[in-house]
Amino acid sequence: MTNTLAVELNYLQMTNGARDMALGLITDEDLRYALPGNPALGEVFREMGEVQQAYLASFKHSKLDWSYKHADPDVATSKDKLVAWFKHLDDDMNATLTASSEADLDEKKIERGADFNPTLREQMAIYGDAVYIFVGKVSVYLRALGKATDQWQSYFG
Amino acid sequence: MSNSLAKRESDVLHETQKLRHQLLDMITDADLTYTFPNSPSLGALIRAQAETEHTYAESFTTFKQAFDYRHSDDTIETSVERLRTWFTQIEIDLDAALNTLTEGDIETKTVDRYGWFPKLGIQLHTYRESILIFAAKASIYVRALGKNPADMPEQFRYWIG
Repeated sequence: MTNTLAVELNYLQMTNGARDMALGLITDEDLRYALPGNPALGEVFREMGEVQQAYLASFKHSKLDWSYKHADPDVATSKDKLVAWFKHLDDDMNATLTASSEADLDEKKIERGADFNPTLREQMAIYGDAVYIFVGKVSVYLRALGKATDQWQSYFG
Repeated sequence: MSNSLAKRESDVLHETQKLRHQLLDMITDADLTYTFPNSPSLGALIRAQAETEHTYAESFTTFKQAFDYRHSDDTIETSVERLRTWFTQIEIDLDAALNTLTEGDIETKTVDRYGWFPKLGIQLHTYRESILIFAAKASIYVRALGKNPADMPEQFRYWIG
């Protein structure tokens, strides 16, 4: 793995760490908590997992497909299942990106539709954006649940 | 645009800043009082974002960021139009600050964030992240207010969900 790729991958891993930090603050019961007009917290996590799966597949196959849905509905109500799922996704994402080359970063294009074909480097950055958007949504739930620690608030408000 | 950072990042930055205006297009002054348990009102959430953005804009001139700026008038968080004007001013100030940077600044200067010293490109990246996190938070309020997601501006719906 090249230096530049290592930097980009390290950033992605830190970003995913924000998701893990949120998971560490909640219980199975919290996953059933819903704010008016919004999905339950567990569904927000499930959607993030499905988004990560879509990005992971795009890193492998150079095409982004949003159609993946997790087959087990219980994944949205079990912290243990979410932790295991995210670990699997993270391990697969790390392995996939580690196997990429420096040239892939700026030469490999990802087909996202509507004539938008970002490079692998740009696609990784957009995935990071998706994680931060997820973190913003989860942050509102954590506050409402009284689970937003001082450390969480210092990072994400 | 006078330097490589502004040239490279201005387009995506301006696109991201549009999310705040699109949010303000969706809500009324009355909506700004909406709140969740243990949480700021929507107006206070938006005010806090503008205060944060003010410190980001200043950081590209002072090369320090303390996050301690507070707007002097608490009623700012009760007016959509005043918040919109404030965000517009921040955009003007940030663009001006970015455009005065030299290539030497971009290469060598860091921002003192009290224990963390990001280079200016990283600082701009974290500014943009702060907008995405804020827009995501605000989207939860917008849905709770009963706004129809189908009526959201296309960019807001596509980017934030």
